[in-house]
Amino acid sequence: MVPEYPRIAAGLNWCYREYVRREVGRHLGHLSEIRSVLQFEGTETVLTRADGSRENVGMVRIEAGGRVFTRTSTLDTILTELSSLALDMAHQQSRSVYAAMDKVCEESGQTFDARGQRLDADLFLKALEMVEIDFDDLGRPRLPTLVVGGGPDAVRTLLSQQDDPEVKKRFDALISDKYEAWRDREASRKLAG
Amino acid sequence: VIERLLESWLDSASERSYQPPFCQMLLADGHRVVHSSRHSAIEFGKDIVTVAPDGTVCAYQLKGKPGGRFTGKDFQSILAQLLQLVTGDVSRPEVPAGAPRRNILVTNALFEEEAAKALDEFNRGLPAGYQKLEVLNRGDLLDAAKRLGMALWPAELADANALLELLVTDGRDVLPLERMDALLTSTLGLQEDAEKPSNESVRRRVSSAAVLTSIGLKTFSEQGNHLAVARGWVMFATYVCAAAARWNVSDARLTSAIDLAVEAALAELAWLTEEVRGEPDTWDRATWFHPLLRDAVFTEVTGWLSLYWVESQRTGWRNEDHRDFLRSFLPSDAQRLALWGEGALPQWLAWTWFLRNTEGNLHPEQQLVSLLAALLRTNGPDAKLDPLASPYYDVSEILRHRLPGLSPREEDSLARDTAAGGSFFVRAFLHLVARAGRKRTCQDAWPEYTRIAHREFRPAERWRFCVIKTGHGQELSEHVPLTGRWADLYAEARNTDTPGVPEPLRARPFLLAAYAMTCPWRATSAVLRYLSNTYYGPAFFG
Repeated sequence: MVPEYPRIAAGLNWCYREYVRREVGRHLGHLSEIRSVLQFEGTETVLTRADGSRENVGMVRIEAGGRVFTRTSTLDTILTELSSLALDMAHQQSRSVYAAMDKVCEESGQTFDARGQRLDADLFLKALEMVEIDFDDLGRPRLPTLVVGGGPDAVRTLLSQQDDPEVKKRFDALISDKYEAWRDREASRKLAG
Repeated sequence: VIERLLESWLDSASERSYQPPFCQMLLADGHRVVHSSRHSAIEFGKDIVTVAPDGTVCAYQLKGKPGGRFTGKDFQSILAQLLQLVTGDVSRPEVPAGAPRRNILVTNALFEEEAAKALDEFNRGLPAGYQKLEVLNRGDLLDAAKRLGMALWPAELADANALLELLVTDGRDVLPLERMDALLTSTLGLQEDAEKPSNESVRRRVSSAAVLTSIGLKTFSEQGNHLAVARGWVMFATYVCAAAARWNVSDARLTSAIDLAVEAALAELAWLTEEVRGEPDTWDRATWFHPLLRDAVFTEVTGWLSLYWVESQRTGWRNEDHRDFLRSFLPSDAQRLALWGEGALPQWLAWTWFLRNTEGNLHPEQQLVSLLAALLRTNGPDAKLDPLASPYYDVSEILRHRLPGLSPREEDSLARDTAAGGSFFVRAFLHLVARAGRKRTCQDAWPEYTRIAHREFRPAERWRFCVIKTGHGQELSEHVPLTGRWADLYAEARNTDTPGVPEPLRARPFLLAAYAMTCPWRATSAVLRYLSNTYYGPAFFG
């Protein structure tokens, strides 16, 4: 056999894995901001929500493959290939996250079929009505992230309406209602008896 | 390979370290061990007393002489003890009156000719009516260990590797749980695809595992790393519980094997107490190079010795001196204790048990309240402080995370694991505070409590609770309803059932508590309520 330099190989292996991990995070974009929790045992999590509803969440396998190291590979080709693997993994991961979100929203009646209508302020406010919104210590709403497919064109109408006084009035009223709901929710956090 | 390892272990073992496996060998030969203790004054020259299958009472005295020869001079130096061994009564309730008797000197050294002559003279000089002294030496011990069933020992290369990997671990380090797990899983036949063995095979495997555990702990024993050795015996005992539960085997031999391992773990804590007492200013010097590590080790020692204290108080002190010494050594306040992660909480809890047993005031209760407050403050979803990491991380991983330069190429999984918004312990501590009848404190804590997901792992089968990690089971993550009722909380807090914990483990609170300190992710709220009921006291009756 020829020398395999196992310690160097182990170090490089660690560097490549870190690179892939960072690339996956970069490709995931806003999804990488979601808090992750590691599970050390078992293959399933049972979530119980405050309203008593339960959900079994299983594991989803995410994998990607390719020929990274060849006799002719250069450092550039290695990194390009690893980046491509990372992109593939990020796609699988985001598809899996959105599929899970779809399932939860469907089950809890939080979906709204726009029937092909372009996203505008009316649609946005209707969707927002379905969402539970929390507020910070200063009473500022913690608004959810809006994910829209179809590129910048898809949100052009919505953006053009954001300064419309009527839209602003409806938005403020909605936030005011959400604030009341949040206060009621917070007030109900008590141990009675 | 194993045979060589066995010889190497035996040649380097002190009598302390070969006593536990020697007892397990006697069990395998059908003896009933009625006394085995090295952490108390030797009982009139007898380290071990057994009743053999034929009813003969056997009294043993162990002498370790690593790598050496037992000379005539060695024999002369212990004459007084040997005389006690031979002439002293064995007055124990388990020993039938008038039973035939054997007296045996056991040594891991080669018994030299001069020593044999001295033995002969000794026996000839005995007054009439006393049984002669016999000797078991290195060769006899080796034969006994081999007879136990070499065929059952790790035959596969991977299994032998588990043992070799343990043997190359630095004996000054923490016990590598995964390596112990690999060794015990293969020896006890706990692999996923294992077929049900016969009951006799389970018993033989237990005896083999005991000897392999001793060999595996060799480097730790040599370094006097008492906590690592104690953890090793705790793991052996819980894995025997796993085998018994998985294969539905329940008999006196397995029960004795577990009890002897528990006794071995307690003995290590007794020796740790001796070490701390003997070197009050320097016992933890090796950890002074980093304040967090130093305080974490002090917390760990405090937890284990607190457990030793409350268990001795419950079952009787093996060494009365330790009671008073530990009362002065164990801290009365939390100043030097480190809350480095949720993994430290079982150690803190053991300390509150000690406080409860030694102080007649509200101090221990206030410590529970402080720990609950700390969890709510750090692990809420919007906490401004660093959350306490999950109990699956030990202090070295926390340090590696905080000081990335320590080992840059090792994976820092903590960086990808968010503890904020979840806790494995907050439910337990709310229950412990509720058990004390602190209704107002619970009401104050409740709003923040409802924001935290209460996490717990539930193994698919009972026996899996006894192994350090399993692929079969569910992690539960629960948010409680926003509005709760005190009566419901209090009822839950008073409940001391431990569903999912095999009975042999539940029946031994010390073992369960030691296991919870070894694998803190197994310290569920049910386990901690039960243990607190045992060591802290029953719930406040309000």
